[in-house]
Amino acid sequence: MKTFLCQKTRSLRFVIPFFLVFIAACSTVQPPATLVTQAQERVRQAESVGADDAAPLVLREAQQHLSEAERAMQKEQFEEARLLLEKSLINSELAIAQTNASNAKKAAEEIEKNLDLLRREATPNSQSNSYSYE
Amino acid sequence: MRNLLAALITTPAILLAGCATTPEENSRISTLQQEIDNLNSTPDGKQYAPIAVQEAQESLDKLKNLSEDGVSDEKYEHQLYLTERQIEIARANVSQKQAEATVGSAELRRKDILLQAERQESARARSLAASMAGRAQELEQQVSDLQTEDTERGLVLTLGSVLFETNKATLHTGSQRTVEKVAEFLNQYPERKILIEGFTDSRGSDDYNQQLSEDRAQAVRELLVTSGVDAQRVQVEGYGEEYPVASNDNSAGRQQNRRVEIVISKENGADVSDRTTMVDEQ
Repeated sequence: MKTFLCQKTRSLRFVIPFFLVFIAACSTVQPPATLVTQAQERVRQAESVGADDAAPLVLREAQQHLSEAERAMQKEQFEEARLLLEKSLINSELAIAQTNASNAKKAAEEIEKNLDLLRREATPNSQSNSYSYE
Repeated sequence: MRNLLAALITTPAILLAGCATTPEENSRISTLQQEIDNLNSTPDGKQYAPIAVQEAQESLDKLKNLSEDGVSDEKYEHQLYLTERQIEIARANVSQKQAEATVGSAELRRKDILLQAERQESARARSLAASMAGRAQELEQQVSDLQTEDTERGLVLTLGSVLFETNKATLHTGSQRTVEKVAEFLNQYPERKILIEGFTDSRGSDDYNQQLSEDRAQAVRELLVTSGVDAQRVQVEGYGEEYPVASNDNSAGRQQNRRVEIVISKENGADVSDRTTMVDEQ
Protein backbone atom coordinates (compact mmCIF):
# COMPACT_ATOMS: atom_id res chain seq x y z
CA MET A 1 0.00 0.00 0.00
CA LYS A 2 2.76 2.36 1.02
CA THR A 3 4.78 1.64 -2.07
CA PHE A 4 1.70 2.10 -4.15
CA LEU A 5 1.08 5.54 -2.70
CA CYS A 6 4.71 6.42 -3.02
CA GLN A 7 4.70 5.61 -6.63
CA LYS A 8 1.56 7.56 -7.18
CA THR A 9 2.52 10.82 -5.48
CA ARG A 10 6.31 10.46 -5.42
CA SER A 11 6.42 12.41 -2.24
CA LEU A 12 6.76 11.03 1.26
CA ARG A 13 5.40 14.24 2.80
CA PHE A 14 1.96 13.44 1.41
CA VAL A 15 2.15 9.74 2.01
CA ILE A 16 2.70 9.75 5.76
CA PRO A 17 -0.45 11.68 6.77
CA PHE A 18 -2.56 9.51 4.51
CA PHE A 19 -1.02 6.42 5.95
CA LEU A 20 -1.68 7.55 9.53
CA VAL A 21 -5.29 8.33 8.75
CA PHE A 22 -5.65 4.90 7.20
CA ILE A 23 -4.13 3.18 10.28
CA ALA A 24 -6.38 5.15 12.61
CA ALA A 25 -9.44 4.24 10.63
CA CYS A 26 -8.43 0.60 10.54
CA SER A 27 -7.71 0.35 14.26
CA THR A 28 -11.26 1.36 15.21
CA VAL A 29 -12.76 -1.46 13.28
CA GLN A 30 -10.37 -4.08 14.64
CA PRO A 31 -12.21 -6.52 16.91
CA PRO A 32 -11.45 -5.36 20.48
CA ALA A 33 -10.40 -8.82 21.62
CA THR A 34 -8.30 -7.70 24.59
CA LEU A 35 -11.12 -5.52 25.79
CA VAL A 36 -13.50 -8.48 25.66
CA THR A 37 -11.21 -10.57 27.84
CA GLN A 38 -10.73 -7.70 30.26
CA ALA A 39 -14.47 -7.06 30.52
CA GLN A 40 -15.18 -10.75 31.07
CA GLU A 41 -12.53 -10.97 33.77
CA ARG A 42 -13.84 -7.86 35.52
CA VAL A 43 -17.39 -9.15 35.62
CA ARG A 44 -16.13 -12.42 37.07
CA GLN A 45 -14.07 -10.49 39.63
CA ALA A 46 -17.08 -8.38 40.63
CA GLU A 47 -19.15 -11.55 41.05
CA SER A 48 -16.46 -13.20 43.14
CA VAL A 49 -16.17 -10.28 45.62
CA GLY A 50 -19.92 -10.46 46.23
CA ALA A 51 -21.19 -7.57 44.13
CA ASP A 52 -24.32 -9.64 43.63
CA ASP A 53 -25.32 -8.70 47.18
CA ALA A 54 -23.74 -5.28 47.61
CA ALA A 55 -24.18 -3.73 44.14
CA PRO A 56 -26.63 -5.96 42.21
CA LEU A 57 -27.91 -3.28 39.82
CA VAL A 58 -24.49 -2.07 38.76
CA LEU A 59 -23.28 -5.63 38.35
CA ARG A 60 -26.27 -6.42 36.17
CA GLU A 61 -25.47 -3.45 33.96
CA ALA A 62 -21.93 -4.73 33.59
CA GLN A 63 -23.20 -8.19 32.65
CA GLN A 64 -25.76 -6.83 30.21
CA HIS A 65 -23.23 -4.55 28.50
CA LEU A 66 -20.88 -7.49 28.19
CA SER A 67 -23.43 -9.77 26.56
CA GLU A 68 -24.56 -6.96 24.25
CA ALA A 69 -20.92 -6.40 23.31
CA GLU A 70 -20.48 -10.11 22.58
CA ARG A 71 -23.53 -10.00 20.32
CA ALA A 72 -22.15 -6.93 18.56
CA MET A 73 -18.85 -8.73 18.11
CA GLN A 74 -20.64 -11.61 16.36
CA LYS A 75 -22.24 -9.10 14.03
CA GLU A 76 -18.80 -7.59 13.55
CA GLN A 77 -20.02 -4.24 14.86
CA PHE A 78 -16.68 -3.65 16.53
CA GLU A 79 -17.04 0.06 17.28
CA GLU A 80 -20.37 -0.61 18.95
CA ALA A 81 -18.81 -3.53 20.83
CA ARG A 82 -15.92 -1.38 22.05
CA LEU A 83 -18.24 1.21 23.61
CA LEU A 84 -20.31 -1.52 25.26
CA LEU A 85 -17.19 -3.17 26.62
CA GLU A 86 -15.99 0.12 28.07
CA LYS A 87 -19.35 0.53 29.75
CA SER A 88 -19.24 -3.03 31.05
CA LEU A 89 -15.74 -2.47 32.39
CA ILE A 90 -16.55 0.74 34.22
CA ASN A 91 -19.67 -0.83 35.71
CA SER A 92 -17.66 -3.81 36.93
CA GLU A 93 -15.17 -1.40 38.49
CA LEU A 94 -18.00 0.49 40.15
CA ALA A 95 -19.62 -2.72 41.40
CA ILE A 96 -16.31 -3.82 42.92
CA ALA A 97 -15.72 -0.39 44.50
CA GLN A 98 -19.23 -0.30 45.96
CA THR A 99 -18.90 -3.86 47.26
CA ASN A 100 -15.59 -3.04 48.92
CA ALA A 101 -17.09 0.11 50.43
CA SER A 102 -20.11 -1.82 51.68
CA ASN A 103 -17.94 -4.50 53.28
CA ALA A 104 -15.72 -1.89 54.93
CA LYS A 105 -18.78 -0.02 56.20
CA LYS A 106 -20.22 -3.20 57.70
CA ALA A 107 -16.95 -3.87 59.49
CA ALA A 108 -16.78 -0.26 60.70
CA GLU A 109 -20.34 -0.42 62.00
CA GLU A 110 -19.62 -3.59 63.92
CA ILE A 111 -16.49 -2.02 65.38
CA GLU A 112 -18.44 1.07 66.42
CA LYS A 113 -21.02 -1.12 68.10
CA ASN A 114 -18.37 -3.02 69.99
CA LEU A 115 -16.60 0.17 71.03
CA ASP A 116 -19.88 1.61 72.22
CA LEU A 117 -20.53 -1.49 74.28
CA LEU A 118 -17.05 -1.32 75.75
CA ARG A 119 -17.44 2.38 76.51
CA ARG A 120 -20.70 1.73 78.33
CA GLU A 121 -19.18 -1.09 80.34
CA ALA A 122 -16.08 0.86 81.19
CA THR A 123 -17.73 4.08 82.33
CA PRO A 124 -18.59 4.53 86.00
CA ASN A 125 -22.22 5.32 85.22
CA SER A 126 -22.92 1.66 84.69
CA GLN A 127 -24.08 -0.48 87.58
CA SER A 128 -21.43 -3.04 86.97
CA ASN A 129 -18.87 -1.43 89.25
CA SER A 130 -17.90 -3.42 92.28
CA TYR A 131 -17.21 -0.81 94.93
CA SER A 132 -18.44 -1.67 98.37
CA TYR A 133 -18.65 0.85 101.16
CA GLU A 134 -18.57 -1.54 104.10
CA MET B 1 -32.76 34.41 -4.87
CA ARG B 2 -34.53 34.80 -1.56
CA ASN B 3 -34.17 31.08 -0.92
CA LEU B 4 -30.51 31.24 -1.67
CA LEU B 5 -30.06 34.10 0.76
CA ALA B 6 -31.92 32.19 3.45
CA ALA B 7 -29.78 29.16 2.78
CA LEU B 8 -26.61 31.24 2.99
CA ILE B 9 -27.64 32.59 6.38
CA THR B 10 -29.02 29.42 7.94
CA THR B 11 -26.29 27.04 6.82
CA PRO B 12 -23.48 28.67 8.83
CA ALA B 13 -25.87 28.94 11.76
CA ILE B 14 -26.54 25.21 11.68
CA LEU B 15 -22.85 24.49 11.28
CA LEU B 16 -22.03 26.71 14.25
CA ALA B 17 -24.71 25.07 16.34
CA GLY B 18 -23.33 21.67 15.41
CA CYS B 19 -19.82 22.66 16.45
CA ALA B 20 -20.48 24.70 19.56
CA THR B 21 -21.23 23.28 22.98
CA THR B 22 -24.91 23.31 23.81
CA PRO B 23 -26.07 24.95 27.06
CA GLU B 24 -27.25 21.57 28.38
CA GLU B 25 -23.84 20.09 27.79
CA ASN B 26 -22.21 23.00 29.55
CA SER B 27 -24.41 22.74 32.59
CA ARG B 28 -23.98 18.95 32.73
CA ILE B 29 -20.21 19.32 32.53
CA SER B 30 -20.07 22.02 35.18
CA THR B 31 -22.22 19.88 37.48
CA LEU B 32 -19.80 16.98 37.08
CA GLN B 33 -16.86 19.32 37.61
CA GLN B 34 -18.55 20.51 40.79
CA GLU B 35 -18.88 16.93 42.01
CA ILE B 36 -15.20 16.26 41.38
CA ASP B 37 -14.23 19.55 43.05
CA ASN B 38 -16.27 18.54 46.07
CA LEU B 39 -14.40 15.26 46.27
CA ASN B 40 -11.13 17.11 45.86
CA SER B 41 -11.84 19.83 48.38
CA THR B 42 -12.60 17.45 51.24
CA PRO B 43 -9.52 16.14 52.99
CA ASP B 44 -10.99 12.64 52.70
CA GLY B 45 -11.20 12.80 48.92
CA LYS B 46 -7.57 13.84 48.57
CA GLN B 47 -6.35 11.49 51.25
CA TYR B 48 -8.43 8.42 50.56
CA ALA B 49 -9.02 8.24 46.81
CA PRO B 50 -6.50 10.44 45.01
CA ILE B 51 -6.21 8.13 42.00
CA ALA B 52 -9.93 7.57 41.49
CA VAL B 53 -10.59 11.30 41.76
CA GLN B 54 -7.78 11.97 39.30
CA GLU B 55 -9.21 9.42 36.86
CA ALA B 56 -12.63 11.02 37.16
CA GLN B 57 -11.06 14.39 36.33
CA GLU B 58 -9.27 12.95 33.31
CA SER B 59 -12.48 11.38 32.13
CA LEU B 60 -14.27 14.69 32.49
CA ASP B 61 -11.47 16.52 30.66
CA LYS B 62 -11.97 14.12 27.77
CA LEU B 63 -15.67 14.91 27.84
CA LYS B 64 -14.94 18.63 27.76
CA ASN B 65 -12.71 18.18 24.72
CA LEU B 66 -15.34 16.10 22.96
CA SER B 67 -17.91 18.76 23.74
CA GLU B 68 -15.72 21.52 22.31
CA ASP B 69 -14.86 19.46 19.23
CA GLY B 70 -18.55 18.97 18.59
CA VAL B 71 -18.30 15.22 18.07
CA SER B 72 -21.25 12.97 17.53
CA ASP B 73 -23.84 12.67 20.26
CA GLU B 74 -23.05 8.99 20.64
CA LYS B 75 -19.41 9.59 21.54
CA TYR B 76 -20.30 12.43 23.86
CA GLU B 77 -22.99 10.40 25.63
CA HIS B 78 -20.60 7.50 25.99
CA GLN B 79 -17.93 9.65 27.62
CA LEU B 80 -20.55 11.25 29.84
CA TYR B 81 -21.61 7.78 30.99
CA LEU B 82 -18.02 6.81 31.74
CA THR B 83 -17.37 10.05 33.62
CA GLU B 84 -20.44 9.69 35.80
CA ARG B 85 -19.46 6.13 36.67
CA GLN B 86 -15.89 7.22 37.35
CA ILE B 87 -17.10 9.82 39.85
CA GLU B 88 -19.24 7.20 41.55
CA ILE B 89 -16.21 4.93 41.79
CA ALA B 90 -14.25 7.75 43.41
CA ARG B 91 -17.06 8.26 45.92
CA ALA B 92 -17.20 4.55 46.71
CA ASN B 93 -13.43 4.52 47.19
CA VAL B 94 -13.62 7.44 49.61
CA SER B 95 -16.31 5.83 51.75
CA GLN B 96 -14.44 2.52 51.65
CA LYS B 97 -11.25 4.17 52.89
CA GLN B 98 -13.14 6.12 55.55
CA ALA B 99 -14.69 2.93 56.87
CA GLU B 100 -11.33 1.18 56.74
CA ALA B 101 -9.80 4.03 58.73
CA THR B 102 -12.49 3.50 61.37
CA VAL B 103 -11.67 -0.19 61.50
CA GLY B 104 -7.96 0.56 61.59
CA SER B 105 -8.27 2.98 64.49
CA ALA B 106 -10.48 0.61 66.49
CA GLU B 107 -7.65 -0.90 68.51
CA LEU B 108 -6.32 2.54 69.40
CA ARG B 109 -9.77 3.74 70.40
CA ARG B 110 -10.38 0.60 72.44
CA LYS B 111 -7.20 1.26 74.37
CA ASP B 112 -8.20 4.90 74.76
CA ILE B 113 -11.54 3.93 76.29
CA LEU B 114 -9.88 1.54 78.69
CA LEU B 115 -7.29 4.14 79.64
CA GLN B 116 -10.00 6.74 80.20
CA ALA B 117 -11.99 4.27 82.26
CA GLU B 118 -8.91 3.54 84.33
CA ARG B 119 -8.35 7.25 84.84
CA GLN B 120 -11.97 7.75 85.86
CA GLU B 121 -11.76 4.78 88.19
CA SER B 122 -8.68 6.19 89.86
CA ALA B 123 -10.30 9.64 90.02
CA ARG B 124 -13.23 8.02 91.74
CA ALA B 125 -10.91 6.12 94.04
CA ARG B 126 -9.07 9.36 94.81
CA SER B 127 -12.24 11.28 95.59
CA LEU B 128 -13.43 8.36 97.68
CA ALA B 129 -10.14 8.36 99.54
CA ALA B 130 -10.34 12.13 99.97
CA SER B 131 -13.88 12.00 101.32
CA MET B 132 -12.88 9.17 103.62
CA ALA B 133 -9.89 11.17 104.81
CA GLY B 134 -12.19 14.15 105.36
CA ARG B 135 -14.59 12.01 107.36
CA ALA B 136 -11.72 10.63 109.43
CA GLN B 137 -10.50 14.15 110.14
CA GLU B 138 -14.00 15.19 111.14
CA LEU B 139 -14.27 12.29 113.57
CA GLU B 140 -10.84 13.03 114.93
CA GLN B 141 -11.84 16.66 115.44
CA GLN B 142 -14.98 15.64 117.29
CA VAL B 143 -13.03 13.31 119.52
CA SER B 144 -10.40 15.91 120.33
CA ASP B 145 -13.15 18.49 121.03
CA LEU B 146 -14.64 16.11 123.52
CA GLN B 147 -11.32 14.88 124.87
CA THR B 148 -12.53 11.37 125.51
CA GLU B 149 -10.47 9.05 127.60
CA ASP B 150 -11.08 5.39 128.16
CA THR B 151 -10.62 4.72 131.89
CA GLU B 152 -11.48 1.86 134.26
CA ARG B 153 -14.61 3.69 135.35
CA GLY B 154 -15.75 4.15 131.79
CA LEU B 155 -15.40 6.52 128.93
CA VAL B 156 -14.62 9.98 130.29
CA LEU B 157 -15.41 13.14 128.34
CA THR B 158 -13.76 16.22 129.73
CA LEU B 159 -15.34 19.61 129.07
CA GLY B 160 -12.86 22.38 129.74
CA SER B 161 -13.63 25.44 131.82
CA VAL B 162 -13.80 27.52 128.66
CA LEU B 163 -17.34 26.24 128.40
CA PHE B 164 -18.39 28.35 131.40
CA GLU B 165 -18.41 32.01 132.12
CA THR B 166 -16.09 32.91 134.99
CA ASN B 167 -17.56 32.23 138.42
CA LYS B 168 -20.85 31.27 136.81
CA ALA B 169 -22.57 28.00 136.04
CA THR B 170 -24.03 29.25 132.77
CA LEU B 171 -22.59 27.89 129.57
CA HIS B 172 -21.25 30.10 126.80
CA THR B 173 -23.71 30.05 123.94
CA GLY B 174 -20.96 28.71 121.70
CA SER B 175 -20.41 25.87 124.13
CA GLN B 176 -23.98 24.72 123.95
CA ARG B 177 -23.31 23.23 120.54
CA THR B 178 -20.51 21.20 122.05
CA VAL B 179 -22.80 19.84 124.73
CA GLU B 180 -25.40 19.01 122.12
CA LYS B 181 -22.76 17.05 120.34
CA VAL B 182 -22.06 15.23 123.61
CA ALA B 183 -25.77 14.48 123.86
CA GLU B 184 -25.72 12.95 120.37
CA PHE B 185 -22.76 10.93 121.43
CA LEU B 186 -24.48 9.74 124.63
CA ASN B 187 -27.62 8.81 122.73
CA GLN B 188 -25.57 6.31 120.80
CA TYR B 189 -25.26 4.41 124.09
CA PRO B 190 -28.83 4.69 125.46
CA GLU B 191 -28.39 1.86 128.02
CA ARG B 192 -25.34 3.37 129.71
CA LYS B 193 -25.60 5.40 132.90
CA ILE B 194 -23.93 8.76 133.01
CA LEU B 195 -22.20 10.59 135.84
CA ILE B 196 -21.44 14.27 135.47
CA GLU B 197 -18.68 15.51 137.75
CA GLY B 198 -17.84 19.18 138.35
CA PHE B 199 -14.45 20.49 139.45
CA THR B 200 -12.95 23.89 140.18
CA ASP B 201 -9.48 25.26 140.75
CA SER B 202 -8.18 26.05 144.25
CA ARG B 203 -8.97 29.75 144.27
CA GLY B 204 -11.93 30.82 146.43
CA SER B 205 -13.45 29.15 149.46
CA ASP B 206 -14.12 25.42 149.58
CA ASP B 207 -17.84 25.94 150.03
CA TYR B 208 -18.03 28.29 147.09
CA ASN B 209 -16.05 25.94 144.93
CA GLN B 210 -18.13 22.96 146.01
CA GLN B 211 -21.33 24.79 145.11
CA LEU B 212 -19.90 26.08 141.83
CA SER B 213 -18.76 22.60 140.79
CA GLU B 214 -22.18 21.14 141.54
CA ASP B 215 -23.95 23.99 139.73
CA ARG B 216 -21.78 23.51 136.66
CA ALA B 217 -22.35 19.78 136.57
CA GLN B 218 -26.06 20.44 136.99
CA ALA B 219 -26.05 22.99 134.15
CA VAL B 220 -24.48 20.44 131.82
CA ARG B 221 -27.00 17.82 132.91
CA GLU B 222 -29.90 20.11 132.14
CA LEU B 223 -28.57 20.91 128.72
CA LEU B 224 -28.02 17.23 128.01
CA VAL B 225 -31.57 16.43 129.07
CA THR B 226 -33.00 19.16 126.85
CA SER B 227 -30.86 17.72 124.05
CA GLY B 228 -32.67 14.41 124.41
CA VAL B 229 -30.64 12.45 126.96
CA ASP B 230 -32.92 10.56 129.36
CA ALA B 231 -32.81 12.32 132.75
CA GLN B 232 -32.97 8.95 134.54
CA ARG B 233 -29.57 8.05 133.15
CA VAL B 234 -27.77 11.10 134.40
CA GLN B 235 -26.35 11.62 137.92
CA VAL B 236 -24.50 14.68 139.10
CA GLU B 237 -21.59 15.08 141.52
CA GLY B 238 -19.65 18.18 142.59
CA TYR B 239 -16.11 17.82 143.88
CA GLY B 240 -15.07 21.46 144.32
CA GLU B 241 -11.32 21.83 144.11
CA GLU B 242 -10.63 18.15 144.77
CA TYR B 243 -9.03 15.83 142.24
CA PRO B 244 -6.99 18.42 140.41
CA VAL B 245 -5.55 17.18 137.10
CA ALA B 246 -2.86 19.85 137.04
CA SER B 247 -1.04 22.27 139.33
CA ASN B 248 -3.04 25.12 140.83
CA ASP B 249 0.11 27.26 141.03
CA ASN B 250 -0.23 28.65 137.51
CA SER B 251 -3.13 29.82 135.38
CA ALA B 252 -2.67 27.13 132.74
CA GLY B 253 -2.90 24.42 135.38
CA ARG B 254 -5.85 26.10 137.06
CA GLN B 255 -7.65 26.25 133.72
CA GLN B 256 -7.20 22.50 133.32
CA ASN B 257 -8.59 21.92 136.80
CA ARG B 258 -11.74 23.98 136.12
CA ARG B 259 -13.68 21.33 134.29
CA VAL B 260 -16.69 19.09 133.97
CA GLU B 261 -16.15 15.42 133.29
CA ILE B 262 -18.83 13.18 131.87
CA VAL B 263 -18.28 9.54 132.68
CA ILE B 264 -20.17 6.91 130.72
CA SER B 265 -20.54 3.55 132.42
CA LYS B 266 -18.72 0.60 130.97
CA GLU B 267 -21.65 -1.76 131.10
CA ASN B 268 -25.30 -1.32 130.20
CA GLY B 269 -27.43 -0.40 133.22
CA ALA B 270 -24.55 -0.33 135.73
CA ASP B 271 -23.97 2.87 137.71
CA VAL B 272 -20.73 4.67 137.18
CA SER B 273 -18.53 3.67 140.11
CA ASP B 274 -17.92 6.41 142.63
CA ARG B 275 -14.75 8.38 142.36
CA THR B 276 -13.92 7.98 146.07
CA THR B 277 -14.11 4.19 145.97
CA MET B 278 -11.91 4.20 142.92
CA VAL B 279 -9.35 6.26 144.73
CA ASP B 280 -9.56 3.90 147.73
CA GLU B 281 -9.07 0.93 145.46
CA GLN B 282 -6.07 2.56 143.92
